[in-house]
Amino acid sequence: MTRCPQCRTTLLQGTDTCPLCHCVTEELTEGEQESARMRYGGGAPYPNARRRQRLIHLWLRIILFAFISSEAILIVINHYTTPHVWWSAITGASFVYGYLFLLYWVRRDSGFAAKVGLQMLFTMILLWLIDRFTGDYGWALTWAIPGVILFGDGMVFFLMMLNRSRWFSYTLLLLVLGVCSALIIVLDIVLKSKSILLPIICVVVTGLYLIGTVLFGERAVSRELGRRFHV
Amino acid sequence: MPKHGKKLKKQPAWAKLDNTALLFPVISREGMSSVYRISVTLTEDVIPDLLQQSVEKVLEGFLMFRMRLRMGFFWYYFEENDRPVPKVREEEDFPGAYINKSRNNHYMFRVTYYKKRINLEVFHALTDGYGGLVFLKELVYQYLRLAHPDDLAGEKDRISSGVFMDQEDSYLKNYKKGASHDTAYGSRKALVIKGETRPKGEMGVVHGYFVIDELKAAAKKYGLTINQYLVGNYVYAIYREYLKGGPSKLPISCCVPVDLRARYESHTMKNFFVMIAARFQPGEETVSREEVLRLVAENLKEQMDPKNLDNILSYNVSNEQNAFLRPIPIFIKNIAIRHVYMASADTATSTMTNVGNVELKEPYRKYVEHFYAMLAMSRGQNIKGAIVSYGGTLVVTFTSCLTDLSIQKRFFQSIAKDGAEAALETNEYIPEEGEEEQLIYRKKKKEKKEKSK
Repeated sequence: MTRCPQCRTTLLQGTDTCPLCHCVTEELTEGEQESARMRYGGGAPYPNARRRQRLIHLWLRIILFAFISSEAILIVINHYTTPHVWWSAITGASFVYGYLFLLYWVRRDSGFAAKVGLQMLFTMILLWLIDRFTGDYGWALTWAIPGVILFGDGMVFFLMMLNRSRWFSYTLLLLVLGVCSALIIVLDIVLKSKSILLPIICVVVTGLYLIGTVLFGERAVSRELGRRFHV
Repeated sequence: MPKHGKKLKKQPAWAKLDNTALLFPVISREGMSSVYRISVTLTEDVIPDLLQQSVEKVLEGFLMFRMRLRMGFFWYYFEENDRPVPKVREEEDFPGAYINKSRNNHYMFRVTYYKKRINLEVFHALTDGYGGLVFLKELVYQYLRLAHPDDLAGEKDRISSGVFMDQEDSYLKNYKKGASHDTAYGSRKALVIKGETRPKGEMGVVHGYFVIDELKAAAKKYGLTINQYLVGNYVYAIYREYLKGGPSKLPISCCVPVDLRARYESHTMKNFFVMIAARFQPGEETVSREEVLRLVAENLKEQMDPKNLDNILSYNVSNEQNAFLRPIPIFIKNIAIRHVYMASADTATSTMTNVGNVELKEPYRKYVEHFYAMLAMSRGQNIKGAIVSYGGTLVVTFTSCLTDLSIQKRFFQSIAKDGAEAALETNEYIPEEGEEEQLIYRKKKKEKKEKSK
């Protein structure tokens, strides 16, 4: 133990300088130390937490650096091999999507179902935008987005099986998929899409899944929805 | 009561969030964790296995702490969590680090240990300092019963009698419709303490241990309570060190949470407090410490008026109870809540909370040395203070994301001038690997040398 003559404080960790005023401290005698221990107790040290913090940040930076340098190399290759087709823009976008995806799954603090739901919603919007800005052929609404919704149905089933004691907690995700499938078919009809076979399959499958869940789930589902929609 | 960690067949219990808790899920993230820590230092090193057993056992009795946060369409809510109790770990992060619920089995608290210290870190949506302290005390009792079965054989192996498990929303219960909405929350911006910050995620901690009797005597000199005296000195330290005793367009505003349980005869385990703010407007002329202490004390006294507390409570709840706001989907509400928070956060310079005096049952006291609390940083508040007293010692803990410690320095120096000298401990000084062993070796060598003489 030491004492700071400037702050008039006892330093339980016995540092050579005061952590507050940086004045050189004076060492306490055995008797003074005993007396200080009687007055204040012994204190408790802290671990070195800096190392762990820096390690996490370091890994994220390494991945970001790898993505940036890979993309730079690909741009150079693209420039010297096929300068008329800028395929490196697609790889660049993929790296950005990949890194954001990584950050989202690592940092986003929500349940698995919420992460899956948001990810699917984001994917649907992205697919629609890609279609819209690459010629508006309508493939997003006729098969890509319904495909994502059907994949989502499968995902919900998988999650319900995986977490059987709380299967009803995925009802809201299923409901969102149901609303999305209904919206898609409405959009397909309004925009007079050429083929609406997959959207119809999507509505039927999701609708039946939803009705089945509500019918067989009985009170478990109604209570879950009661909690989720309490005003 | 379900055996913990086993899958529940029945429907889970659920609860609405209290008025204060509504804010935290919206604003919390890495860097603004809304987590507070209450720690206890024992007289012996913590045994991890026993601590794990203790957490599992105590958690069975505290439904409030077994909750997980879920998102509804209109509001967040709590739902009973049947996942395994998170592993008690050795402390390896900075205090008040964000609790990533999805990596914590969705529990909203964390128990860590380091040498003699047990830390309980709680997400503020769950409960306030009172609730955290009740849980920690029971955890310590349970741990000590397991660690000293012979010595504590006479103690009953269950939650102490007299502990309330009440989960009422005391805000709603005591809300008076139509009460005056003149609140202590001014819309006026307050001074923000800025400076060089520590790397993201790092937080500096300074504990100051005071002998309560000395502190009482020092406060008495000014005719103040200990709380008024400490808050006053803190405001003065900011005034002297950050403003260098000069004028400021913006006032120094130090928020002080007020526990409402005594006033409303509540025993809820949920949050139940309001914030008042000690304000000091520095002018052209330099103000003495005595004057700052007097002004702050008067300011606090005025706001502690029961009618004012009623008004703050009613104002806070009135927004939640608004029939037009309730049915708005949560993602829209979140934007509004975040916006309101951002605006209100600028009205506070810092926070100093007093968790109160901890009392332990007699047979356990000899195993416990200290209790202390600390707050995580929030928007616009780069330094905060927390006070806890136990067994004749009062611990003031400053947490800060700034590298400069001059405010803390001025605070302890000022109080030392009044005769209450503190013992300090920080997380700044960490012995390098092997250094601790070397120190022990050197000490032993010195002792040997002295003996041989």
